[in-house]
Amino acid sequence: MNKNTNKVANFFTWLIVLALTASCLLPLVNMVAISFSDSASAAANQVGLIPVHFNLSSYRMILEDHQFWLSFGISIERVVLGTLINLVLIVLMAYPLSKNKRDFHARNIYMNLIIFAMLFNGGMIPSFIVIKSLGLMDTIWALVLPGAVPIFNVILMMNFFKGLPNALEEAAIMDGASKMTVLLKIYLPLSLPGLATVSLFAIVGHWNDYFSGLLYMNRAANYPLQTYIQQLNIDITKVTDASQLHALTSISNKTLNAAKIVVSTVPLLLIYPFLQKYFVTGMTIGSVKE
Amino acid sequence: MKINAKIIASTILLCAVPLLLTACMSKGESSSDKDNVAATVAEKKPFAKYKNTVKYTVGKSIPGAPKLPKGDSYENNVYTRYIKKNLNAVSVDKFEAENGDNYDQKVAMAISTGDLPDIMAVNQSQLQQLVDNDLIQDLSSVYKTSTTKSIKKMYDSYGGRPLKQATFNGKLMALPTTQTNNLPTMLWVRKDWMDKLGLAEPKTIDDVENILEQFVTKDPGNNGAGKTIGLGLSKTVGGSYASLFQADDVMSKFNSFPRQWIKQDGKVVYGSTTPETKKALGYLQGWFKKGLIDPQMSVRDKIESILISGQCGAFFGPWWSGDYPLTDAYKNNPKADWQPYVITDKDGKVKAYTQNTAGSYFVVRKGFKHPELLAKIASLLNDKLVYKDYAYKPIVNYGLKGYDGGKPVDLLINYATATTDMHDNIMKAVNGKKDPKTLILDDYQNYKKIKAYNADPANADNNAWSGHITRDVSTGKMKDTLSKIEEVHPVFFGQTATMKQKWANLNKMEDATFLKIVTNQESVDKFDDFVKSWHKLGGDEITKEVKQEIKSQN
Amino acid sequence: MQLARTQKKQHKDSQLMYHLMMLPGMLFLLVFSFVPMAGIVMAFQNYIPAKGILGSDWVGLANFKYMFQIPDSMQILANTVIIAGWKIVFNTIVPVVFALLLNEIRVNWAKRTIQTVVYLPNFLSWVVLATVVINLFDYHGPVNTFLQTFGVKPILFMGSNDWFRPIMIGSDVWKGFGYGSIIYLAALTGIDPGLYEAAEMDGASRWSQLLHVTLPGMLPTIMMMTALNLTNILNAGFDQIFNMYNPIVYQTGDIIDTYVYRVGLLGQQYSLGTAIGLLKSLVGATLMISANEASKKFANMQIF
Repeated sequence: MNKNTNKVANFFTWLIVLALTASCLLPLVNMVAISFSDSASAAANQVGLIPVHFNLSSYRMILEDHQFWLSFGISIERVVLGTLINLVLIVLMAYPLSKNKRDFHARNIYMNLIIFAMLFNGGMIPSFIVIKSLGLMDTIWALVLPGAVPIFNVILMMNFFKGLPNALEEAAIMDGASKMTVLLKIYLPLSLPGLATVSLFAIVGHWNDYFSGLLYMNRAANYPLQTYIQQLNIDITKVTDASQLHALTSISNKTLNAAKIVVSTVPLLLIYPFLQKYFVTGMTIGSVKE
Repeated sequence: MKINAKIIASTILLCAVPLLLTACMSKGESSSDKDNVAATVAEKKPFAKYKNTVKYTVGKSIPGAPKLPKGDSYENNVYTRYIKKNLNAVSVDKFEAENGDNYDQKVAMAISTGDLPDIMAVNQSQLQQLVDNDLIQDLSSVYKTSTTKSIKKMYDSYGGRPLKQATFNGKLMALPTTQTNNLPTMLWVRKDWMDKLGLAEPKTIDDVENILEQFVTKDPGNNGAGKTIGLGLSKTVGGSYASLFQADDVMSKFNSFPRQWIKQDGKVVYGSTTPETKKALGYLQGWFKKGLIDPQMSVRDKIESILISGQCGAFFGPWWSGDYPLTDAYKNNPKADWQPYVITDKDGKVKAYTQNTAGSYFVVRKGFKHPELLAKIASLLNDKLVYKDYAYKPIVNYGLKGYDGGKPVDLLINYATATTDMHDNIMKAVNGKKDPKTLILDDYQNYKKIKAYNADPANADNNAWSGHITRDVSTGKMKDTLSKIEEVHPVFFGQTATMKQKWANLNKMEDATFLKIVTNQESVDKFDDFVKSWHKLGGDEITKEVKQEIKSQN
Repeated sequence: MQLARTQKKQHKDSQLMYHLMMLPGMLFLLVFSFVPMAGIVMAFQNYIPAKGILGSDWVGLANFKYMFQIPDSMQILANTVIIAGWKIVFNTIVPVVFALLLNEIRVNWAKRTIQTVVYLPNFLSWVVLATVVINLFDYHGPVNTFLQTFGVKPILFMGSNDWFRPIMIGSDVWKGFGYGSIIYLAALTGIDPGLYEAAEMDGASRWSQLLHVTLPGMLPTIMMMTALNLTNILNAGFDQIFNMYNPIVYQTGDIIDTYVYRVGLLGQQYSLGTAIGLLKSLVGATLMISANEASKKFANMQIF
């Protein structure tokens, strides 16, 4: 009886999960199909899940688009640099914050400051002025430093640390280990799922952000990929003059844009499986304890 | 330790304000000020070359998709080299941003930090700000000394309207770009469907109604019962000058000029609130009820897609509709024979409102030693390059290969009649009355397209077709109609103080009312409620302000 | 005695260490968050770029009053809170449930593939997805075609004030649930397997394991995410709604951000934007702090 209900439950689990999965796959398949289609069919909204008049011209055009690859490189650089900085700062801040007030007296003051910084901001003009007066305009630092402390991720990591058993730390301290050693040797190895999660969030955050590129880059050659792609959407209701036609006809190329979106999504697809194993196989505390 | 943290906290907050304030105030002098020496009288002449290289910084608007040859940049390309060669002036980009919102934002940031480029384009409200705060130079005298006769003629061809928009207290504070006349818009319709049903060419809106009715009931495109769409129409219904998918050609027949400040019986009124507009909306509602207008117009994502796919048989659009979006329609189905028709009143006249003749405004930063440079570049690119150096090889090749976006100062000035002039020139060349080599580049390319089309219309590709349908057919119809147009000149394009407060809300009511009435979700009589609320919620105040501004302009 | 002294010294050393660990991050926050906060004064000014922050006129609370003087302000506020509120609810429930379902799937390769696929929509922008959603609800689209087989007349979903909000909420949840579930999957790995073993020994069914082991184990994460999400109660999703709304559904779909955007079309209004940002922050902060207090009081759990 019990087994039967389990089977039924299993069946429905699979059904729901697969249905949801399929629904998530379709729009991307649609994008891929558009990217391989003829531009007129795409503009006619006639492409579903299979390319119409299959051709590779969009991808050929991307290969020749040197700004695309330039921006691609800048995005990669930003992700690597930005994520590293993020991880260092996240870990350094999350550890003291995971202590209670008894262990770290100033903990709550810091916490309040951080939450304040998360909730309030002065808008883009003062941020722009700061970046400009620091001489960071048009440098990679303008893309990575303003978001060096992703507060949401700090809080997330802090909660992972909180969940770790205290006994290990106490034992190490008894053996004369410093707090830094505790953090590096005990906390970090134990929180790989947490680290994987915040890394993923940091990577995705850096990769997808287009606005700081728009604001802090004065040269189009310095745009990261998403900023470059963001510009490709044009509002035709604003086109009132024939002189804008050139821009219109080139930008309205739906297949090319789809190809650019597909290519820009690939790195995120590739990175996921690497991080994923840390939260699927379940690196559990028990298994590391020995 | 506790104290320690509190000190940190308070230092943080204390540091914040002064740091920012000093940051705000550091308005450095631009480097170009030091090296540059003011121009001599000789150097001020439009095409005179500077003795010493002049360096200038620009705020550059760029196309969304970069289209420069490999190795070139926005600061070093065929146009910048042309300017260097002719004027000995070299540009450095202070910033680059895509034309539109992104560019406007960069300008606002530049103004905020007080770090302006020497030359840049701004919009009307930014121009007003720069003038109010004395940040830009008076260009009245350099306009006289450093633009050519042709440039002055071009501006004059608009009856002085563009320069008037840029003049404050008798001083010319900017050189505006000009926006040419693109009237009238036309009904673009599937001629092959009309032929199939034996319908005659439309002349009046009654003819249009009949054609649309036949289209949706008889389904000449075999889309399936109930799936053929008559007229593709924008959610905004009308009021966007010479744009795609507007209903202005219908509404003007009722003397309705939505979203324009016009003079009616000697009084300034907002066109969206007139009884004429009520009638026009009611008429469109009649079409919608009969199923002649896209039943999904209120939610339609891209109207282009239903034209290209062959579901929709007609729309109103400007002469260039053959380039966009119809070139894709032709590519998708070369049998789709889209043709433009001018729709007139019963007496053969066409009423239409005109647009703001000034597009964007090019200004020169206060303190820059070469205010004449802007006028010189404008003359070089819009006069010498177009009428004398049109065969200049590097630029010709650049255009032929489809490159775009190189001009450091993209100040476009041309004649009000530029569109029909273009038609004349190309057609003279096509008919052998003009040497094609004397055509400017863009025209030459279209000349070749038309030649290709004429050689074999049945097998022409979409490029040849779009050249033919726009540069030959639609602009030709524009030209034939010139004498029949009754232009209505809107009297105000700017914004008033109260508009900043209340316009967004009035617009919201206006948009919703227009769309709901046309799509038959509300009765035409709801229009009266809209007008009442419009006046009450700020419309009266704004009308008063508009009247005052018009008075102060004259 | 000796031991107590070393402990005291250790305690003091570790305080210093903690401060040092906080230092780099706090410096970054100082420069890039706290300093720019001086810009909040713009909310009380009529900021004009050419005049700068120092030169612009002070207007007191005029920017805040503006928002409430709009004739539709209550409607806009209601639309925002309703759409954002339901999004918060479903963006918590659905990812949690999905993470639990996925956890029940024991075929590892399938689990991984599914996970990779469901997180995809999160990377497509609303400009792209809006077209997909609008096509889905077209007169001749899949939804209407399906309904027609039951004899239902075609519905203009995207132009219906009854349907617009549910579609916005549903499509937003659909876009984000895969990405949102990552955090809960990570939380699941943190649950001690010993607890499951113990439960199985007691003969607990899978259902009761779920109720008594899994859910309590995830509760801290769920609480934290809810508290953080509450700060978005006035952010109903500009990109999504802007790309899908139309004047017909203004009455149910016009939110604060879309309205402010349209105000900005007449010339950027930095002061109004700052004022509204400040208002959103204040409301968000209040809600988040209340959530934290409530969870301390009722669940004896401190989130921050």
